[in-house]
Amino acid sequence: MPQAVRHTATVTRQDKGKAMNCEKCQELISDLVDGALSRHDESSLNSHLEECLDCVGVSNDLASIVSFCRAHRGEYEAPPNEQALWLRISNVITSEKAESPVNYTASPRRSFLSGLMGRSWELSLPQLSAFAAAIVVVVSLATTVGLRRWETGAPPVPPDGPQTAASPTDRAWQQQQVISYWNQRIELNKARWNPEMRETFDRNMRVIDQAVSESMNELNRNPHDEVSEQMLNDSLNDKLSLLKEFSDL
Amino acid sequence: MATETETPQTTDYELAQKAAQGDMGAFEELYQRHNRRVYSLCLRMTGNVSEAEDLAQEVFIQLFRKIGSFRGESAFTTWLHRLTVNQVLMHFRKRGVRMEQTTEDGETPIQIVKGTENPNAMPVVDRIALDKAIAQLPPGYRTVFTLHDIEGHEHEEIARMLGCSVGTSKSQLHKARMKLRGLLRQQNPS
Repeated sequence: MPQAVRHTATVTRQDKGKAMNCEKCQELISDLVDGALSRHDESSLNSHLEECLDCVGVSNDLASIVSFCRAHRGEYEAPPNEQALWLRISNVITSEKAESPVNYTASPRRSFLSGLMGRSWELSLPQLSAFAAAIVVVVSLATTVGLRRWETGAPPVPPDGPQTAASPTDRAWQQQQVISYWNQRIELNKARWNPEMRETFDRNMRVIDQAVSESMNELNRNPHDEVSEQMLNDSLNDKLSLLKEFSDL
Repeated sequence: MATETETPQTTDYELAQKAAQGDMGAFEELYQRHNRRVYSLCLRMTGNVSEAEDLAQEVFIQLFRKIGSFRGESAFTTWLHRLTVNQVLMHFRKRGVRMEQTTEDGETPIQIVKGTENPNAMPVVDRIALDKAIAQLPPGYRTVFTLHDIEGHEHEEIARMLGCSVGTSKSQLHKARMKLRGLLRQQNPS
């Protein structure tokens, strides 16, 4: 160690004056690194640095930390599983939208409807007649189709419409993505569990996996089996709940 | 006009407007563009992967709830950044995390460096070592260090965000840097 100023946490009385200088100096080093020092402070600091290797070390170290951060600004790290995170987010949003649609911004359909209702209509006589004729045609068509359906006993179309809903296999795939995310979290914690807890978890998981597998087999045989679809959804939800519960333990 | 992150077709602002109308496809595009930025900020402020993920999730849920209020007066990234910082700070408050405050005496005194045989013992800074050291900082120091040195905020902005004085922000930053230096030296003593 050269005969430069020595600094210790427990300062001796003789060293106190110099140590205080170092304390003051080190307080100012951050401002020096940020270029926020007054000319006077900078000059006193530089004088101290000329004779104090320890403070020079601090100054160099802080400068390299700060310059590294500046050089790497704008570099971002991806979440462990971006797709699973998105599925979690979209699931929450979808369920919240379903529960309280009024909390969210109006859908385009509602805006259109409110636009129609709020608008003042001024129609000429020919326009009015054409409008009335159009209504008559639409109502007659709807009545004819309705009567035919009633006569043939065709089942009613579900309100959400099968063409707009995701297929069961798509939904199952999405849920599997979320499940695989929670599985990863479980794997991280599993090492901490005691044997009893591990056995309980594995037993429950076996039962659920069996149910999932049976429902999937049934759906492969008969893709339109609504009961199997419902059972598959329930089993996957159960699996997700189990994984979430155990991931906190 | 918010056009900081642009593709040839759609700006963040346009996507935000579509998302505000309930277009989940547009919202997913915003997620794809910004999830890394949000997650990284959460990770650096919390120093914990699981917490950062949960917070990033909460940020995007909040974003969807509030996206209708984004008018494009500032850059979308600035707006989202602020939303993220607020979310993390709220999380700290809920969890009762103590944000170190500078007192006259200084709560966490900085030990004046001891003379060593090799005064330049701090290893060359690298990303992994730095992230590890940042994660070990007390939350208050970590927050100020992240906002100033990593994200590039000025002390005035940080003071406004945290509800403290500029002097406190400066002091915490200096303490954070000194602590980081010590942690980096410990990680790789020469």
